[in-house]
Amino acid sequence: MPGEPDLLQGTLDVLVLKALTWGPRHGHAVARMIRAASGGAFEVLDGSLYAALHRLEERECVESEWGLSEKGKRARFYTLTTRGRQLLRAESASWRRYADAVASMLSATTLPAEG
Amino acid sequence: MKVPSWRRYRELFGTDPERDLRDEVRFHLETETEELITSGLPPSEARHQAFARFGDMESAMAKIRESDRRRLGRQRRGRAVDALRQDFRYAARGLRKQPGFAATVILILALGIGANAAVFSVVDPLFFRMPGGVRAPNEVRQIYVERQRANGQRFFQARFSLPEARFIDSSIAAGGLTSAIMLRRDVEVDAGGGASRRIKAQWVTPRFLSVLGARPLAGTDFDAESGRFGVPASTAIASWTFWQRELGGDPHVLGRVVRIAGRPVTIRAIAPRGFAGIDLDGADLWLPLGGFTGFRDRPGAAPWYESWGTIAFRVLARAPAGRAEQQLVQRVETGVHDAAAFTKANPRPGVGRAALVRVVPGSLLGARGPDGMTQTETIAALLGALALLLLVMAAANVGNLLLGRAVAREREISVRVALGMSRRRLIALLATESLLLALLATIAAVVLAAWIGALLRAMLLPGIELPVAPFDARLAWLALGLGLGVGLLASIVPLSTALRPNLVAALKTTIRDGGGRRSRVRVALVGVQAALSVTLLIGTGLEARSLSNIRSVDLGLDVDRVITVTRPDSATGPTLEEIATVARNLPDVTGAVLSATVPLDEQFGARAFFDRNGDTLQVSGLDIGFVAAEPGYLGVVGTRVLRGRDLSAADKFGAPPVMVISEELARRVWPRRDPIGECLRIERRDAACYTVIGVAENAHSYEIVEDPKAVFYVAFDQRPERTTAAHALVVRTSRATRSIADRLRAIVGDTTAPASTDPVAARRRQVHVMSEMLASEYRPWELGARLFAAFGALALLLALFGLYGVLSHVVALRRREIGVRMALGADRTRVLALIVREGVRQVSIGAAAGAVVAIALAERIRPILFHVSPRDPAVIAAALTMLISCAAAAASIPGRRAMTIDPMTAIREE
Repeated sequence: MPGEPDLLQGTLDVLVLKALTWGPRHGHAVARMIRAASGGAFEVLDGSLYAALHRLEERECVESEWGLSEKGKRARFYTLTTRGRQLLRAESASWRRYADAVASMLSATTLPAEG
Repeated sequence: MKVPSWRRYRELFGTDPERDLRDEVRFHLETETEELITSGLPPSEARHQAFARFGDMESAMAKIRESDRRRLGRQRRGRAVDALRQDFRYAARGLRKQPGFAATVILILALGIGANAAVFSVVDPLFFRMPGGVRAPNEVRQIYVERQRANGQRFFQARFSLPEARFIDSSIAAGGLTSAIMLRRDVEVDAGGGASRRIKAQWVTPRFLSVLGARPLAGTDFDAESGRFGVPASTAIASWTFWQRELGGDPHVLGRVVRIAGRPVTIRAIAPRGFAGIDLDGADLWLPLGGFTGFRDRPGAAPWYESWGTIAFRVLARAPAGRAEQQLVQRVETGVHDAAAFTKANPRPGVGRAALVRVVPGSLLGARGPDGMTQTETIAALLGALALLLLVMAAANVGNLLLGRAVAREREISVRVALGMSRRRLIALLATESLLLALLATIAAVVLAAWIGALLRAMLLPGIELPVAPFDARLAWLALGLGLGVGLLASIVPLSTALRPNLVAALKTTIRDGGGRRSRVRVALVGVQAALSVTLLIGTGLEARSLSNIRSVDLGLDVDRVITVTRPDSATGPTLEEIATVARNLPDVTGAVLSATVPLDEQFGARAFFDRNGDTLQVSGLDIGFVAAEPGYLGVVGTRVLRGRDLSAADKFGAPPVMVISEELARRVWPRRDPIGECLRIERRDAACYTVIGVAENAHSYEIVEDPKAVFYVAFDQRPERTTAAHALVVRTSRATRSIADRLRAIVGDTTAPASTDPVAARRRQVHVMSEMLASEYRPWELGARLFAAFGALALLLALFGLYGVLSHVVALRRREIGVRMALGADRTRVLALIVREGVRQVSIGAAAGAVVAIALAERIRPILFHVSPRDPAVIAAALTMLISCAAAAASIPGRRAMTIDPMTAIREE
C-alpha cells in the first residue's frame, strides 16, 4: 500500500479484507478469525485491528453498519466493498509473487547466476 | 444480523461517532472477556487479559478518531454536493413546469441588470476609467484656474492661451516638477491617390510622454530640438493602434514618412500598447506643439504661438498628493502672475482680463474636474441613477412574483419541513431556485447589455470611438455580481415567510386565506414601484417641456432658410465669389452675401472706444463681437433691424464708416439714449469712428443657450484693417432649402454624404443648412427626453404589472367572499368598482411618496432642464394623473374577471 511505512500495517489490512470475504463480521469476530487462521503465529493487538478496520472504512474498502450480535448486543458489522475486493485481489497476487520469489530463492540448491 | 427498524430510532437523532466508538470497543472487550471466562479464566484475570490484548488503548483510539473524522467530513461534503445538485434539478424542473413565470422573471431581471451593465459601459470611461498606459494616473493633474470677471462672475478655465500656458509650464519646471502643454487638433493624413484621411492627433511639448509616465515601445521620445516653436513638425510619435492599423504593423516603421497636410513627417517612435493620450477617444499621432501648422497667421500680425487670443491649450503636470501638489499650486500661481505682469508691460490684443482666484489641480477625467459636468456627462450620471432605480424596481417586481409563487407552494414547503427538512436545507432549496433564475437572467442580461451599451454609446458619445470595446470582462463581472445580488435580494421575502415557525397553522391553512403579513409586503412592493414610476414620469414631463422650450427659442436668425458655404484655404475649384454669382441665379434663392465669418460658428472680437466730453473712453466690462459682411447680410440671415436702417451698397470703401448694432450693445453703451447717430471706434483709440445707423434685434452668436450678446455689423468693404478676406457665403432661400444645399454641394464638389451623422464628417462639410448645425445642440435635450421617456415607460409598465399581479391574486383568493357579496345583492359593477378602488388605493400612497421624492431631488435635475422649474406643478399633476389612471385601467382587468364570478359556484368552492 502506498505511503504505509509499516509493513505489518499493510499486511494486517490484507488479512482483515480476507477475513471479511466470508461475509459481514463484527470487529471481535474478525480478531478471532485472524488469530485462529494464522495459528497463533501473528500476535495482533486488538487496538491495531480496530484501527485497521476504521482505516479501511475511510478508504472505502469496507463499509460498516450497526447490527445485533449472536447474543443480541449492539455491534458494528463490517462488509467488504467492491473496491475492497479489488484491493484484496491485487494484494494477494503481489503477496503470492513475493512469496514465490522468496521461496524459490530459499529452495535453491545450486548457486544462482550472478549479475 | 440487521438491527430491527424500531431500534434504529437512535439514528434519527444523528450519528455520534464518539459514542459509536466507545460502544464498539466496549462490545469487543465484553465479548473477549466472556470468551476468556468461558475458556476457564477467572473473571478478573479474563478482563485483565482482554485489556492487555487490546494494546495501547489511547493511541489506538486516537488513530481511529482521526480516520473517522476524515471519513465523516468527506461524507458530509459529498452529501452537500448531492443536495445542491438535487436542488438545482428540482428548481429547473419547477421552472420548466411554469415557463411563463420563469420567462417573465428572467426578462424583468435581464432588463434591470442589462440596463445597468449597459449604462456602466458609458459611465465608466467618463467617470471611472483613467486613460490607459498612464503610470499612477491619480498623480497626473490637469491644471484648472478659477477666475473672476470684472462683474464679479466666477468661472473655471481649463484651457489657456499658448503664451500663458508657456509661462505656467516653465514655472512648474523651475519648481522641479514635470509638466507639458497639449493641444488637440486632428490632422489630414495622405492616404495615397489624392485622398486624405482624418486622424486624431495631439500636439504636445516634449515632456508629454514623461509626464504621463509612458515610455516609447520603440524609438526615441521628443527632445528639446523638437520643442522649438515656429519650425513645422518633422517627426511624430504614432500610437500602437495607428501603427497596427494604418502602417500595417511594419517592423521597420521607425523612419517611415507620412504626409500630413502635404508635409512629410517621420515616425520617430511608437507609443506603448494601450496608451492613447488623455482624450476620451484617444489619439493616433503625437506631434511637437512647436511645429503646429493649423492656425491661420494673420498678415502682419505676431506668429500664432505668441497670440493670446486662442484659448485652446491644456497644461498637465505630475504631482503626487501632499507637498508636491501644494508646490504645484504655487508654481502655477507664479506662472499666471508672470503672464499677467508680462501683458501689463506689453499690452497684447485678445488678452483676457479676469483676475485669478485660485489654482485647482484637477483630475485627468474631465467629468471629475472642478468646472462641473458637461451636458453629456450629466446625462450619463443621470442614466446611472435611472438604471439603478430600474434595477430596484425590477427586483421589487421579481420579489413580488416570487412571493406570489411562494404562497402557492406554502403547503408543499410546510409538508417538507414537517417531514424533517432542516431549515438550512429549506433555505438552500429556495435560494437555489432564485439563483438559477438570476443566473439565467444574467446570461440574457449580458447579451442585452452589449446591445444596449452600443446603442447608448452611439446616442451619448457619437463619433467618439472609444479605445475600449463596449463589452469586456469588467462588464461581465458586474452583470454577474448584480444578478446574484438581485437574485438573493428578491428571494429574501419569500424565504423569510417560508421560515415562519408556525408551520402547523400553515399546514392547516388553505389557500383561501390571504395571509395578512405577506400581502402587506406585496402591496408595499407595489407602492415602491409606483413611487419610482411617478418620479420617472415627472422627469419625463420636465424634459419634454425643456425640449419644447428650447425648440422655441428665438435665435434672431432664420436657421431653416439659411445655407452657409465655406472653403478651406487649400481648396481648388470655384471661389466663393463665383459660387455667390451662381447661387444668386438659382430659383428660390432670395439673397447671397459674402461674410468674413460663419454665422453661429465664429465671430470677431474687438475693443471699442467712444467719445465723451472730449475724451475717448474704452467700453469696459463687455465682450463685444462683430460681423463684417456684404450689405444685405442681416436680411439674408433674418435678423430684423428694429430702428434706423440696414447697411447698404452705399456704405462702401471710402464712404463714411457706419455700423448697425445689436439691441444688447445699444442697451449697454447708451442705456438712456437713442444710439442712432452715436459712433464707436474699433480696436484703437485713434481709429475711425463708425456711426451707428441702425439697431438690430439680438441674434445668437454661437449657441442656442447664451446670454444676449453685444454685436455690431459693418459693411465688408469698411471692415477694420485686422479683418481677413471673405471666408463664407451666406445664402437665403424662400423654400426647398435642402435641395438648394445639395445643388451647392455639387458645385463645390463636396462629396461627403449629407446624410452622414458622424460629426467629424459633418465638420468637414463645406455646405451647411444652419439648422443642421444646431442639431447637435438640441441633442442633449432630445436625448434627455428620450431616455426619461424610455425609463419612465418601463417603470410604469413594471409597476402596472406588479399591481396587476397583486390584484389578480386578491381576486383569486377572495372568490368566495366576492361570491357571497354578489349573492347578497351587490351588483356586478360594484364589484368592479371595488377592485379598481383597491388598485388605486394601493398606488396612491406610493405615487404621493414618489412626487415628494421628485420635489426633494428637484435641484439635482436642474442642470439638464431648460426654462422649466424642476417643481413645475403642471408636470407633477400630469404624472400623478397618468399613474392613477393607468393603475385604474390595470386594475380593471382582474376587476372584470371578478365581475364574471358566478356566486353559486364560488360559494361552493373549497
